[in-house]
Amino acid sequence: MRKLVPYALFLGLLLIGGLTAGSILSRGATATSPLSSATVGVLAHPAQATDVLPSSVLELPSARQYDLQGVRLSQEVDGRKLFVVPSKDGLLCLVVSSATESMSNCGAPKLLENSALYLEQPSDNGTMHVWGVVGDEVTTVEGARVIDNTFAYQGEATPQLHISSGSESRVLDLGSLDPPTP
Amino acid sequence: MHVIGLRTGFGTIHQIEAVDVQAVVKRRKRGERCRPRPSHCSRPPWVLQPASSGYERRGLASRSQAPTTYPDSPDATRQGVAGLDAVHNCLKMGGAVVSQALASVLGSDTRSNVSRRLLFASLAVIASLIWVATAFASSRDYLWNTQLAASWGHSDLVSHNHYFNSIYPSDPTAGWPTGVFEAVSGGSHFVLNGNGKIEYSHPSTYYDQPWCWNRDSVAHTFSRCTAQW
Repeated sequence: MRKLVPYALFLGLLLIGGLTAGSILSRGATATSPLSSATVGVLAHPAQATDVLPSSVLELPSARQYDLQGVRLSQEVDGRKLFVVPSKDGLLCLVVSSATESMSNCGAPKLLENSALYLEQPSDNGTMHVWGVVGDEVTTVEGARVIDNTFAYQGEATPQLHISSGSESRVLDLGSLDPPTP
Repeated sequence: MHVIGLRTGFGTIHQIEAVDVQAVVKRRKRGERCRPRPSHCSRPPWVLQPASSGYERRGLASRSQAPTTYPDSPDATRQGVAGLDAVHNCLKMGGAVVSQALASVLGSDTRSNVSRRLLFASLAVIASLIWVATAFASSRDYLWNTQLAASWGHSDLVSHNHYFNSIYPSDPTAGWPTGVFEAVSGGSHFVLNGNGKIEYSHPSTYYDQPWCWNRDSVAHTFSRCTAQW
């Protein structure tokens, strides 16, 4: 009987430790609950005649991976078309196309749970453009309207933007903006 | 007459007469018809004659003396002349062999000329295609499987009129801050940042260097960065 006491104590401590860890983890999970689902509703819209990528975009190397049937034109702003494009390798792509430029950024749809898939371009006059794709629940992005899962920000250069979904809000960290000096 | 055996891919042997091409051309210019050459012309070109026999060419002799180890030695001069003449004759023989091979295969001089023109034309087409491919549709990876330190850029510093720049993280699903830009001594332009696999096609305005950079605060590995011009 005496021999069993240390084992019982060990098991008890193990149980207490497990419960404590579980409690902490569950609290952490609550604190980092997703801002949005990773779903992008615009991709479920019926295809329109405008949901076609320009030929300049189709020349990009990544275009071979695009699911061309799933391309959706989300919005057109300042002469630029914002497309949301699923890719065959499971990534989600934001394609921004103008008369002279084509740009794309492909990443994991999971990013949309707490952030956005974005492209950022500084301007010579100190302002910047930010185009992004957000999840279905995101309603506002600081200084920009969300239309069909995308937003287009143009304003003063800033290292971060706030994105909101109901009462939840996150900071979209745009990272370092100035290229390193060559 | 010097006869050369040429083995073709089908195992047959064509006998070809090695001719002095320049002599034939001169004769044709004078309107003469081809006729059998005198016996002294039939000596194989690689049979070297002494310099005193009139085979020596002054230009070649003086050229051969310059790099010779023993410039004052008449033997060395003779050897240098003989060596150069041997090279000259070998080249002449090579040309003659090729042209005669075509003639023997096709059977007539006219067809040989046509085939020669076709050969040169096709070679020119191939060369121009290669040149066009390298000059106008050039692409290069300027980074492969490299770890970039935090806030660190990379370039091969090769300048072109680039119209495309891209960066591919080793894990495109991770959402690391990434970016591309192009640089000249005056500064940066065509800057595009994001958080994944970025591709940027733009006008080829500047003669510049392509850069890709890790904008994150920790080091990451990147599969490749590609530029086109």
